Amino acid sequence: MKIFKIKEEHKSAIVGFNGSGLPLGKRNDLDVLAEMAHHNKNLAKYFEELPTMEAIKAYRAGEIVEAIEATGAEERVQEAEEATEVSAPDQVTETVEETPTESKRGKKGNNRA
Amino acid sequence: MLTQVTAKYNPTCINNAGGISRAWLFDAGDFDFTTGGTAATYSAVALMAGATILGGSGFFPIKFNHLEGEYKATHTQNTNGSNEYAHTVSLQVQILGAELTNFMELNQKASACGLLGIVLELNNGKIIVIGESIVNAVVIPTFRIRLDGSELGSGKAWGDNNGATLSFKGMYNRGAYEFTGGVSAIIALEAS
Repeated sequence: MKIFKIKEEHKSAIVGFNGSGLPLGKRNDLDVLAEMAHHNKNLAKYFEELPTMEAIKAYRAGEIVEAIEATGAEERVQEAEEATEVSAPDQVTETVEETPTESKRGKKGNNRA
Repeated sequence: MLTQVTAKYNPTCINNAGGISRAWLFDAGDFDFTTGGTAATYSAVALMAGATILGGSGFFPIKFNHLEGEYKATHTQNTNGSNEYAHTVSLQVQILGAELTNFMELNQKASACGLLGIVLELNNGKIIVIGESIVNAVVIPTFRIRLDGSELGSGKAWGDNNGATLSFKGMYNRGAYEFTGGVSAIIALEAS
Protein backbone atom coordinates (compact mmCIF):
# COMPACT_ATOMS: atom_id res chain seq x y z
CA MET A 1 0.00 0.00 0.00
CA LYS A 2 3.09 2.23 -0.04
CA ILE A 3 2.11 3.88 -3.28
CA PHE A 4 -1.15 5.09 -1.73
CA LYS A 5 -0.17 7.78 0.74
CA ILE A 6 -2.90 9.82 2.34
CA LYS A 7 -2.05 13.34 3.39
CA GLU A 8 -1.61 13.67 7.14
CA GLU A 9 -4.46 16.17 7.47
CA HIS A 10 -6.87 13.77 5.74
CA LYS A 11 -6.07 10.55 7.62
CA SER A 12 -9.15 11.01 9.81
CA ALA A 13 -11.40 11.95 6.89
CA ILE A 14 -14.20 9.57 5.94
CA VAL A 15 -15.06 8.65 2.39
CA GLY A 16 -17.80 6.07 2.14
CA PHE A 17 -16.97 3.41 -0.45
CA ASN A 18 -16.44 -0.33 -0.91
CA GLY A 19 -18.72 -1.22 2.00
CA SER A 20 -16.90 0.79 4.66
CA GLY A 21 -16.74 4.20 6.26
CA LEU A 22 -13.47 3.84 8.17
CA PRO A 23 -11.16 6.86 8.31
CA LEU A 24 -8.80 6.97 5.34
CA GLY A 25 -5.76 6.36 7.55
CA LYS A 26 -7.15 2.96 8.48
CA ARG A 27 -8.27 1.76 5.06
CA ASN A 28 -6.61 -1.14 3.29
CA ASP A 29 -8.41 -0.61 -0.02
CA LEU A 30 -6.98 2.74 -1.05
CA ASP A 31 -6.37 1.36 -4.53
CA VAL A 32 -10.16 1.50 -5.04
CA LEU A 33 -10.27 5.12 -3.88
CA ALA A 34 -7.30 6.01 -6.06
CA GLU A 35 -9.02 4.54 -9.10
CA MET A 36 -12.17 6.59 -8.43
CA ALA A 37 -10.06 9.70 -7.83
CA HIS A 38 -9.13 9.65 -11.51
CA HIS A 39 -12.61 10.85 -12.38
CA ASN A 40 -13.41 12.87 -9.26
CA LYS A 41 -10.83 15.52 -8.42
CA ASN A 42 -12.38 15.98 -4.97
CA LEU A 43 -11.10 12.50 -4.10
CA ALA A 44 -7.65 13.13 -5.59
CA LYS A 45 -6.97 15.80 -2.95
CA TYR A 46 -6.70 13.10 -0.24
CA PHE A 47 -3.52 11.63 -1.77
CA GLU A 48 -0.02 13.04 -1.42
CA GLU A 49 0.50 11.92 -4.98
CA LEU A 50 -2.22 10.16 -6.95
CA PRO A 51 -0.79 7.01 -8.58
CA THR A 52 -1.46 6.55 -12.27
CA MET A 53 -3.95 3.95 -13.45
CA GLU A 54 -1.03 1.85 -14.70
CA ALA A 55 0.56 1.95 -11.24
CA ILE A 56 -2.74 0.90 -9.67
CA LYS A 57 -3.07 -2.02 -12.06
CA ALA A 58 0.52 -3.05 -11.40
CA TYR A 59 -0.10 -2.86 -7.66
CA ARG A 60 -3.14 -5.11 -7.98
CA ALA A 61 -1.21 -7.56 -10.16
CA GLY A 62 1.50 -7.62 -7.50
CA GLU A 63 -1.05 -8.34 -4.82
CA ILE A 64 -2.32 -11.32 -6.82
CA VAL A 65 1.23 -12.68 -7.29
CA GLU A 66 1.94 -12.27 -3.57
CA ALA A 67 -1.26 -14.09 -2.70
CA ILE A 68 -0.39 -16.98 -5.05
CA GLU A 69 3.15 -17.20 -3.65
CA ALA A 70 1.86 -17.14 -0.09
CA THR A 71 -0.57 -19.95 -0.91
CA GLY A 72 2.28 -21.98 -2.48
CA ALA A 73 4.52 -21.43 0.56
CA GLU A 74 1.78 -22.61 2.91
CA GLU A 75 1.30 -25.78 0.86
CA ARG A 76 5.06 -26.51 0.94
CA VAL A 77 5.16 -26.07 4.73
CA GLN A 78 2.17 -28.36 5.10
CA GLU A 79 3.78 -31.06 2.93
CA ALA A 80 7.00 -30.86 4.97
CA GLU A 81 5.06 -31.25 8.20
CA GLU A 82 3.23 -34.28 6.87
CA ALA A 83 6.51 -35.87 5.77
CA THR A 84 8.00 -35.34 9.27
CA GLU A 85 5.02 -37.02 10.94
CA VAL A 86 5.43 -40.15 8.74
CA SER A 87 9.16 -40.70 9.58
CA ALA A 88 9.02 -39.99 13.35
CA PRO A 89 7.62 -43.48 14.49
CA ASP A 90 10.68 -45.37 12.85
CA GLN A 91 13.20 -43.40 14.98
CA VAL A 92 11.46 -44.31 18.23
CA THR A 93 11.65 -48.04 17.36
CA GLU A 94 15.45 -47.93 16.72
CA THR A 95 16.17 -46.35 20.13
CA VAL A 96 14.25 -49.07 22.00
CA GLU A 97 16.13 -51.87 20.17
CA GLU A 98 19.61 -50.46 21.04
CA THR A 99 19.15 -50.30 24.85
CA PRO A 100 19.02 -54.10 25.68
CA THR A 101 22.27 -54.75 23.65
CA GLU A 102 24.28 -52.10 25.58
CA SER A 103 23.27 -53.40 29.03
CA LYS A 104 24.48 -56.95 28.16
CA ARG A 105 27.90 -55.62 27.20
CA GLY A 106 28.22 -53.78 30.48
CA LYS A 107 27.63 -56.93 32.61
CA LYS A 108 30.33 -58.99 30.85
CA GLY A 109 32.92 -56.32 31.53
CA ASN A 110 32.18 -56.30 35.27
CA ASN A 111 32.59 -60.11 35.59
CA ARG A 112 36.08 -60.07 34.11
CA ALA A 113 37.28 -57.45 36.58
CA MET B 1 -30.25 -1.15 -37.09
CA LEU B 2 -29.51 2.56 -37.38
CA THR B 3 -29.54 3.44 -33.68
CA GLN B 4 -29.43 1.58 -30.41
CA VAL B 5 -33.03 1.84 -29.30
CA THR B 6 -33.25 -0.71 -26.52
CA ALA B 7 -31.37 -3.13 -24.30
CA LYS B 8 -32.11 -6.34 -22.45
CA TYR B 9 -33.30 -6.27 -18.83
CA ASN B 10 -32.04 -9.30 -16.95
CA PRO B 11 -31.11 -8.28 -13.38
CA THR B 12 -29.27 -10.61 -11.03
CA CYS B 13 -31.71 -12.69 -8.99
CA ILE B 14 -31.84 -11.52 -5.36
CA ASN B 15 -34.17 -11.80 -2.37
CA ASN B 16 -36.20 -8.87 -3.67
CA ALA B 17 -38.18 -7.78 -0.59
CA GLY B 18 -40.28 -4.65 -1.00
CA GLY B 19 -40.33 -1.61 1.21
CA ILE B 20 -37.78 0.65 2.82
CA SER B 21 -35.36 -0.35 5.54
CA ARG B 22 -33.72 2.98 6.41
CA ALA B 23 -34.00 6.58 5.28
CA TRP B 24 -31.74 9.61 5.60
CA LEU B 25 -32.10 13.27 4.67
CA PHE B 26 -29.11 15.34 3.66
CA ASP B 27 -28.17 18.79 2.44
CA ALA B 28 -27.32 18.17 -1.19
CA GLY B 29 -24.63 20.85 -1.07
CA ASP B 30 -22.71 18.90 1.57
CA PHE B 31 -22.00 15.71 -0.35
CA ASP B 32 -20.11 14.75 -3.48
CA PHE B 33 -21.12 11.45 -5.05
CA THR B 34 -18.69 9.59 -7.30
CA THR B 35 -20.08 7.61 -10.22
CA GLY B 36 -19.32 3.91 -10.33
CA GLY B 37 -18.10 1.71 -13.13
CA THR B 38 -21.65 0.57 -13.84
CA ALA B 39 -24.17 3.00 -15.33
CA ALA B 40 -26.61 4.70 -12.93
CA THR B 41 -24.50 3.97 -9.85
CA TYR B 42 -22.53 5.91 -7.30
CA SER B 43 -19.61 4.02 -5.79
CA ALA B 44 -18.46 6.58 -3.22
CA VAL B 45 -19.68 9.56 -1.22
CA ALA B 46 -17.66 12.19 0.61
CA LEU B 47 -18.28 15.43 2.43
CA MET B 48 -17.48 18.57 0.50
CA ALA B 49 -14.66 20.80 1.74
CA GLY B 50 -15.92 22.86 4.66
CA ALA B 51 -18.74 20.47 5.50
CA THR B 52 -18.02 18.48 8.65
CA ILE B 53 -19.96 16.15 10.91
CA LEU B 54 -19.02 18.32 13.90
CA GLY B 55 -20.23 21.36 12.00
CA GLY B 56 -23.69 19.84 11.58
CA SER B 57 -23.40 18.16 8.19
CA GLY B 58 -24.09 14.52 7.51
CA PHE B 59 -26.84 12.07 6.70
CA PHE B 60 -29.79 12.60 9.05
CA PRO B 61 -31.59 9.32 9.84
CA ILE B 62 -35.39 9.40 9.84
CA LYS B 63 -36.97 6.98 12.29
CA PHE B 64 -40.17 5.76 10.70
CA ASN B 65 -42.66 2.99 11.47
CA HIS B 66 -41.65 -0.49 10.35
CA LEU B 67 -42.79 -1.29 6.79
CA GLU B 68 -44.45 2.12 6.52
CA GLY B 69 -42.08 3.75 4.06
CA GLU B 70 -42.45 3.87 0.31
CA TYR B 71 -40.68 5.26 -2.72
CA LYS B 72 -42.34 5.79 -6.10
CA ALA B 73 -41.37 7.38 -9.38
CA THR B 74 -43.93 7.94 -12.11
CA HIS B 75 -42.47 8.31 -15.58
CA THR B 76 -43.89 10.52 -18.32
CA GLN B 77 -42.49 11.04 -21.78
CA ASN B 78 -43.61 14.28 -23.34
CA THR B 79 -44.31 14.80 -27.03
CA ASN B 80 -41.09 16.77 -27.37
CA GLY B 81 -39.15 13.69 -26.31
CA SER B 82 -38.33 14.94 -22.83
CA ASN B 83 -38.76 12.60 -19.90
CA GLU B 84 -40.05 13.33 -16.42
CA TYR B 85 -39.87 11.21 -13.33
CA ALA B 86 -42.14 12.34 -10.50
CA HIS B 87 -40.29 11.03 -7.43
CA THR B 88 -42.18 10.63 -4.16
CA VAL B 89 -41.15 9.32 -0.78
CA SER B 90 -43.58 8.76 2.08
CA LEU B 91 -42.50 7.84 5.60
CA GLN B 92 -44.88 7.29 8.51
CA VAL B 93 -43.41 8.68 11.72
CA GLN B 94 -44.67 8.74 15.28
CA ILE B 95 -45.51 11.25 18.00
CA LEU B 96 -47.35 14.43 17.25
CA GLY B 97 -45.70 17.12 19.32
CA ALA B 98 -42.96 19.71 19.55
CA GLU B 99 -40.24 17.51 18.14
CA LEU B 100 -42.25 16.77 15.00
CA THR B 101 -43.28 20.40 14.57
CA ASN B 102 -39.66 21.50 14.87
CA PHE B 103 -38.54 18.87 12.40
CA MET B 104 -41.14 20.03 9.89
CA GLU B 105 -40.11 23.69 10.27
CA LEU B 106 -36.43 22.96 9.77
CA ASN B 107 -37.02 20.82 6.72
CA GLN B 108 -39.56 23.22 5.22
CA LYS B 109 -36.79 25.82 5.15
CA ALA B 110 -34.26 23.36 3.78
CA SER B 111 -36.75 22.25 1.17
CA ALA B 112 -37.77 25.77 0.13
CA CYS B 113 -34.42 27.53 0.33
CA GLY B 114 -31.86 24.86 -0.23
CA LEU B 115 -31.48 21.44 -1.69
CA LEU B 116 -32.88 18.46 0.13
CA GLY B 117 -31.57 15.02 -0.69
CA ILE B 118 -32.77 11.61 0.41
CA VAL B 119 -30.96 8.28 0.71
CA LEU B 120 -33.09 5.15 1.02
CA GLU B 121 -31.90 1.67 1.91
CA LEU B 122 -34.48 -0.71 0.48
CA ASN B 123 -35.44 -3.99 2.10
CA ASN B 124 -33.74 -5.84 -0.76
CA GLY B 125 -30.43 -4.30 0.31
CA LYS B 126 -30.07 -1.79 -2.47
CA ILE B 127 -29.54 1.89 -1.70
CA ILE B 128 -30.95 4.66 -3.87
CA VAL B 129 -30.33 8.40 -3.85
CA ILE B 130 -32.53 11.29 -4.96
CA GLY B 131 -31.99 15.03 -4.77
CA GLU B 132 -28.22 14.91 -5.08
CA SER B 133 -26.49 17.99 -6.40
CA ILE B 134 -22.75 17.32 -6.74
CA VAL B 135 -21.44 14.41 -8.79
CA ASN B 136 -17.75 13.87 -9.55
CA ALA B 137 -17.01 17.32 -8.12
CA VAL B 138 -19.39 18.94 -10.61
CA VAL B 139 -22.78 20.50 -9.85
CA ILE B 140 -25.44 18.70 -11.87
CA PRO B 141 -28.75 20.20 -13.08
CA THR B 142 -30.98 20.87 -10.10
CA PHE B 143 -32.70 17.77 -8.73
CA ARG B 144 -35.12 19.46 -6.36
CA ILE B 145 -36.87 17.45 -3.64
CA ARG B 146 -39.43 19.28 -1.52
CA LEU B 147 -41.17 18.45 1.72
CA ASP B 148 -44.70 18.65 0.34
CA GLY B 149 -48.01 16.96 1.08
CA SER B 150 -47.23 15.62 4.56
CA GLU B 151 -50.21 14.72 6.74
CA LEU B 152 -50.04 15.11 10.50
CA GLY B 153 -52.69 13.63 12.78
CA SER B 154 -53.54 12.15 16.14
CA GLY B 155 -55.55 9.17 14.88
CA LYS B 156 -58.86 8.15 16.48
CA ALA B 157 -58.41 4.82 18.13
CA TRP B 158 -55.64 3.67 20.40
CA GLY B 159 -54.22 1.54 17.61
CA ASP B 160 -54.07 4.43 15.11
CA ASN B 161 -50.82 6.16 14.26
CA ASN B 162 -50.30 9.35 16.23
CA GLY B 163 -47.77 11.31 14.21
CA ALA B 164 -47.40 12.06 10.53
CA THR B 165 -46.93 10.66 7.08
CA LEU B 166 -44.03 12.70 5.75
CA SER B 167 -44.21 13.33 2.02
CA PHE B 168 -41.28 14.33 -0.20
CA LYS B 169 -41.75 15.11 -3.88
CA GLY B 170 -39.49 16.04 -6.75
CA MET B 171 -39.28 16.00 -10.52
CA TYR B 172 -36.24 15.01 -12.54
CA ASN B 173 -35.34 13.68 -15.95
CA ARG B 174 -34.21 10.25 -14.77
CA GLY B 175 -34.79 7.63 -12.11
CA ALA B 176 -32.88 7.31 -8.86
CA TYR B 177 -29.23 6.25 -9.00
CA GLU B 178 -28.05 3.35 -6.86
CA PHE B 179 -25.33 3.82 -4.27
CA THR B 180 -23.12 0.72 -4.34
CA GLY B 181 -20.69 1.78 -1.61
CA GLY B 182 -22.62 -0.09 1.07
CA VAL B 183 -24.85 1.01 3.94
CA SER B 184 -21.86 1.13 6.33
CA ALA B 185 -20.51 3.98 4.24
CA ILE B 186 -23.72 5.97 4.77
CA ILE B 187 -23.93 5.17 8.48
CA ALA B 188 -20.31 6.27 8.95
CA LEU B 189 -21.31 9.71 7.65
CA GLU B 190 -24.41 10.13 9.78
CA ALA B 191 -24.88 13.50 11.42
CA SER B 192 -23.99 13.60 15.11
